[in-house]
Amino acid sequence: MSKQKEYVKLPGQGRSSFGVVTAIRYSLWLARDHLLAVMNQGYSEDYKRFYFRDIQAIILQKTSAGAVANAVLGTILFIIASLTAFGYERKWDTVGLGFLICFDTVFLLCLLVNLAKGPTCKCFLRTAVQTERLYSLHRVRPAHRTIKRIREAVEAEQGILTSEYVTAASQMEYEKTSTTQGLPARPMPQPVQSVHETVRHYNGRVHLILFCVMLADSITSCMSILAPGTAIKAITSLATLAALGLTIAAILKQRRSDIPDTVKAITWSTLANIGVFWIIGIVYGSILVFSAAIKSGRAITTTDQPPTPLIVILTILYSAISACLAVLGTSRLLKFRKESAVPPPLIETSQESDSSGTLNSGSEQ
Amino acid sequence: MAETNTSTLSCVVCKTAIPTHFYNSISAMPCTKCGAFLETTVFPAIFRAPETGVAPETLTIESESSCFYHANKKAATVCENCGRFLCTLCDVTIANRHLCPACIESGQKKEKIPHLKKSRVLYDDLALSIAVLPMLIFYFTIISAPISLFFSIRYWNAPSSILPRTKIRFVIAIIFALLQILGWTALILYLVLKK
Repeated sequence: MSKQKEYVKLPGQGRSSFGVVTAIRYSLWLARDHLLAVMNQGYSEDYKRFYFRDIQAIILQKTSAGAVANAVLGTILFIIASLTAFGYERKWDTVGLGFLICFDTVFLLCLLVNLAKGPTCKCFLRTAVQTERLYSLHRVRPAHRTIKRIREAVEAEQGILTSEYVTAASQMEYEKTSTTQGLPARPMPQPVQSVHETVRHYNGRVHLILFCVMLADSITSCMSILAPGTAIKAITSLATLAALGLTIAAILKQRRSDIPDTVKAITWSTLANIGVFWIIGIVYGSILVFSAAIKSGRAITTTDQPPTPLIVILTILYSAISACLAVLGTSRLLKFRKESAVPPPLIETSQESDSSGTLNSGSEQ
Repeated sequence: MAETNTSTLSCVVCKTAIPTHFYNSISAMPCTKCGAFLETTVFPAIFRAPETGVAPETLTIESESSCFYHANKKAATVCENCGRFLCTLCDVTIANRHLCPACIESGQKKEKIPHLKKSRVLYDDLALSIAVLPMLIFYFTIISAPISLFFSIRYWNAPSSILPRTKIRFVIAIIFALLQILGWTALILYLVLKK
């Protein structure tokens, strides 16, 4: 019973890169005065203790492993689903279709599980002597919960770090460094006004997903013309719905963000594109259905109708506009992401001294 | 050569110093060099100077207590385990207890100081695996069942994980092992009696 009170398990249980094969599992436990990192190798456990008074920082690095997994799973799922739809239309054998449907289900479940788990990350804990990776924290959501609990425990021991203290301590460190170098101390340059105080930084992830879905939508739209059928049309409708949902999400995300205006304009254009062609499709489709029903005297769905030349033209037009917007948006967004990774030149990057040992009076604040 | 600034955080990818105005930011900030998105939770310990030890005082008056390990140094405290006098050099604080180096070494070997325990063998997991895994190839259980039973009994009271853990694995391993032994016994008896 005393052991249960001594250690409390924190969220997250991870494996190392080879953990899938070697069954190495990591977990974090909270004690009264320290954090315990446990590595379970199956038949033995290794322990590392980090006392609260020694913990200097916890660093969470967001990674793209989850997104890459989503992209790969999604791509595979899309290919197999398209193959399944194609096979269904071509009336392939039941066994083969059954296999394809099983694969679809498996990949769909994997994709849904990965989506539900959320984005991936790496967590590091820093003390005076080491920076230790916390393998049990590899998803952002449980990592945030765990870091919150650790922070409460550490702040109870060390106190809260205020921004004034950070500035003052950094100034002292700066002056100390300047003095030991034999250089006259000078006031530390003011930190660059962060754009995050008024406009938040946004990496454009939702927009990237939207542009990928738009490309997929344009492909499936063209396929629905080449190989018309219920399944293909269902997939096309789903892709268009997904594109619409993502467009709305992207518009919400880009509000008061530093994403380029071009990308914002492309997002609004996407919404207009989907909206306009959707309305045209509903109106024209209704006209076709009603007129065919009146002619034949029975209820007819749009799937019963072969694509008319106008539908073909409209679909090609919609696909072309979608594809162009997606390509333009992706290229501009990738350029923005690359640019935002390169810092503007800092004022105090290098303090070269001339032969007299004095500072060059160069850059201004 | 510039003095290393140990009170700054570095990017975990490219080791570039993270600007102090990124500390404890609400959202992830991109590293100024590599662009990796980092969220930092920083505590006051990062700005705290490393603790320096106190040099032991030399014994000046003969009547004063001296350290057990350094006869010419003044005793500053007493080992809470063995009662020996210790100077500031020999005094080691673990979990708010003052101990001498000898007690630390013996405590670590005899596992009397839990805070020094760095690893534990999980005999219950081992016994359970020996009982269960060979069932995949059934014939191995004639050897593995007695081994599993031996492990379960021999290490029943051995120190297990320092985390909350019951002995259920030992119990399951014993049950499996006994059932396998009973099964093999019945099979052997049947074959012998059949002849």
